[in-house]
Amino acid sequence: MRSSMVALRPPQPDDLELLFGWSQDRLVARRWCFYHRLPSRDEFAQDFFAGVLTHAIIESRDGVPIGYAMAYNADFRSEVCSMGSVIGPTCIAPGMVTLGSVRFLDGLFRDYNFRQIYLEVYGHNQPVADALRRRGGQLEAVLQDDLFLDGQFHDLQIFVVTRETWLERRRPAWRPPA
Amino acid sequence: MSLELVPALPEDVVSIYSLLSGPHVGWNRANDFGPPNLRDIRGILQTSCIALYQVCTEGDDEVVGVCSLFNFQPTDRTCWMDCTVVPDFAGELPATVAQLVGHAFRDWDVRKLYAISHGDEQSLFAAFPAHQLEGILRDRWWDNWRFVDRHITALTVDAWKAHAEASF
Repeated sequence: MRSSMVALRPPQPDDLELLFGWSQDRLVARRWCFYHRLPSRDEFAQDFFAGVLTHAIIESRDGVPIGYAMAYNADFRSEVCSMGSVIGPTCIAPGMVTLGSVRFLDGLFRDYNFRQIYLEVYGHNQPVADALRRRGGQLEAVLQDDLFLDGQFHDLQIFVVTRETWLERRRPAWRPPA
Repeated sequence: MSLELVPALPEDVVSIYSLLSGPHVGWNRANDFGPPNLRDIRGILQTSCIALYQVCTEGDDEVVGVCSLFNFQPTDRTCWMDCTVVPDFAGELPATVAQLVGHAFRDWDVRKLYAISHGDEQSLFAAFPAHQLEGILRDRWWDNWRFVDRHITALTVDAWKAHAEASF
């Protein structure tokens, strides 16, 4: 999927090396939920696809990988799944990854029959939580003091984006008079 | 009749599968992605699991349930638990849960324990008045031809200790 600003493409075998490199970056690792221990090369390769339904490399307009988005824990019986994304360490425009993530989320609603998609955000990542709220995400759970990082506890916030809300938000604000 | 927790061994997988695939026993962990099949059940049971027990009747060792501790985070000291028994022994569930909770807090140095329940089900921590409801995922779970809410509840080690002291 390509827009004027970002593109999504399926990960290729070579990308595993790139993504493993990202996972070794302290800041990215935190966003990727490798909070307490960086994965070894073998662990990363072994676990990379576990529970993943679909995923995509987010590229800038000039074809440079800047982020990664994934859908996981798909529950087709209940018509829900979870989604996450990470920003590459060399990316200097995180908003582009957000845009790519939004397109990825849009694709999930378009390509699958999900009613609801869940996103987990830790309390120290408040800008992402705010961005989710702006895009119709509803906070459904706060697991208090779930993460212990840098000497303090952080809450885990679980947001949901419903198909209804998503489609409503996508609809153009202006409509021609009947 | 009281129940006891017996560590599950690899050869117990088939009997656990029989129990979980019966019509009256649902287990969130095993069913989270749809009804399990025998090929997948071993992986489901073992994934992220630090303790897996069969719930047995004391004396004649009849298997009437299964429970586990999983998603243990040693640095955060959080862990999730799940427990189910056949309907005939539903009255024994709180005591069984209490055994597992005690095991988690005493033996695994867990700080906070999570559990989920669906729809009208009581929280596994219902016997602990200080447990917290931390969120309700609306219409998260397809059950009996309708969507029901998922409740996430938590019990801290401090609440558990206070309860244990009060009970004593």
